Amino acid sequence: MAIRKNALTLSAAEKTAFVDAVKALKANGTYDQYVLMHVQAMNHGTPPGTSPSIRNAAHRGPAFFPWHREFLRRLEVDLQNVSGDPNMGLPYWDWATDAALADPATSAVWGNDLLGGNGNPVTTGPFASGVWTIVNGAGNPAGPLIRAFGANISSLPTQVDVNGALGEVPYDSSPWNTSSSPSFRNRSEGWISGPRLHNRVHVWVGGSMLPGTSPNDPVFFLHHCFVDKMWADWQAQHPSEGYVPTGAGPAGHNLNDAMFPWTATPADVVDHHGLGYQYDDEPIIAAGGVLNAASFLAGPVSPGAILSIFGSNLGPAVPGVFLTIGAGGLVTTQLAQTRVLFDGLPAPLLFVRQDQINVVALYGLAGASSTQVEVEVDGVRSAPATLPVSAAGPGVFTRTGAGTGQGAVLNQDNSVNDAANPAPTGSVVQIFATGGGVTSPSAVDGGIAPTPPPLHQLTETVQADIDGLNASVLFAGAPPGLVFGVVQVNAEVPAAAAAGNAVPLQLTIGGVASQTVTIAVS
Amino acid sequence: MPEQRENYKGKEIVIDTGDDQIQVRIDGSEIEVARDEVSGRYVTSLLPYTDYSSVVDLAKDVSDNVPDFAGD
Repeated sequence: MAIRKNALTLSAAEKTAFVDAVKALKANGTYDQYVLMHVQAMNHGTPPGTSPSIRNAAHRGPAFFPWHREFLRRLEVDLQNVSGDPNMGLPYWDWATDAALADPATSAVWGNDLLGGNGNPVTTGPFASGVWTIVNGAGNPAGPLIRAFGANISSLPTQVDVNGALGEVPYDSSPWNTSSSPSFRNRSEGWISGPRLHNRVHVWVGGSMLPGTSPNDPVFFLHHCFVDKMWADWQAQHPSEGYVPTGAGPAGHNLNDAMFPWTATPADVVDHHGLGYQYDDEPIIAAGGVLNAASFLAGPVSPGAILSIFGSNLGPAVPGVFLTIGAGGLVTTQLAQTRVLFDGLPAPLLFVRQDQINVVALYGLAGASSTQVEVEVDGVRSAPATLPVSAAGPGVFTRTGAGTGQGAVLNQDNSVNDAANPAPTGSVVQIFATGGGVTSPSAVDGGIAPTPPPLHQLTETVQADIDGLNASVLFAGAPPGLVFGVVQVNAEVPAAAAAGNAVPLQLTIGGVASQTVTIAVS
Repeated sequence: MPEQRENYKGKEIVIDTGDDQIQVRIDGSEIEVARDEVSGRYVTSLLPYTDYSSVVDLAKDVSDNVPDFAGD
């Protein structure tokens, strides 16, 4: 999954990698094909036979956003391939923030390590005259890159402009052109009292960004990445507003029309997560970041398992927010504007913080083969993490909370098991774990296990091994008074177990083994 | 409207807006120009991010900024 970052937050290495990849595509001829692709779309009137200056495949109509989303994603994939980095993301230029600068030309995006500066021709940075040659509409060399900041229009669009567009619904409206209003698309493209927003940025940069060959300037892609982010933000803010027109608009702009010159349709690109990227201010589940909260190991999700989700933008700042009990005595499924969804259904939250969430997987996952986990913050969802589901996936809680070392174990007298309080052989210890699967009677999502009767017992087979010896299991189920998802296993320490402060302990539930922790035995 | 000719920075711009058609040539090369019936302004896909109240101004900007014409 590529993360598209604000260009101002790129590390030096990320800037170098991006610039190198762009120049590699230029060198092998791929980059110039994007310039020509844009020109071709610009010359393709929609419907066919009409003036492309009035409405074309990519501009002045509803397909403006999806056409450019497909365009950018294609380049992004090419950048990934040529760089060898499958997660390389296009950076975006937040020109609305730069509009507030006394001189937007001083923004770091125009630094010599990223886009270079202003001029006719551009003489600084990686795309300077002598290094970077633009092409004309026929694909022939046409001189150096030119920029003329502010020469044609004095200012960039502001955050107020962006917010105004983001607040506008519907997505677009008849007659699906530059007079459409209200229209998020038309306002964002910049035709209402224009040039504004998207159009205004092209005009402000000037030079090579003015004509239909504007992808000649690499800033085109950073600009349109921010425009695409606007669409993603608008989609998140207006989840009930879909792409229109769905069928009655001009050919090439309907939801299921092919977007010239491709076969891709707007419907194919409305979900940007599905295309393989997300923006840096969205909730982000780290790759491999959904773990058993006891073992901190990856593996299949099981019904009722307590999971830790690691990533960024997941919730409030340190120290985070702990669980609350809501209506019906259930642990709530929302904490500080954060929710975790399993296949679209919210799950009980135990803890949320910007970099970590602890959540109880829904018991309704029983019988499923996989689940899609999403984090939602302030209505904005992360890209889903697809995880396999198994009937059980045990992890034993540990004293340090790190998933290794001394297990979270109580002795028969309810003292905490450790080197100072070892469990005698033949005594019964209480081992605390999660990932035990469903119970009988059925556990309730977010519920607190009641004081018996009845005891909620695991339905999967449970085995406990202490010092590699099978320990007799006397009980395995939900400990009364704790949230469903916590598992307690009472097991008798084998008489033959060796004494020691770190004797191996492992649970196997439903045929799935936990990590090995330790227990003190005397 | 009669044909309008103008020499601009060494290039010949010819504009004919008769018969409800707009024909614009720069040094003999015809460029696609349309009049947006809603706004009443002139537009061309060669300079797709703005529009013009004057065809002459549009043609001059094309001559200045479109690499197919600029620098000829």
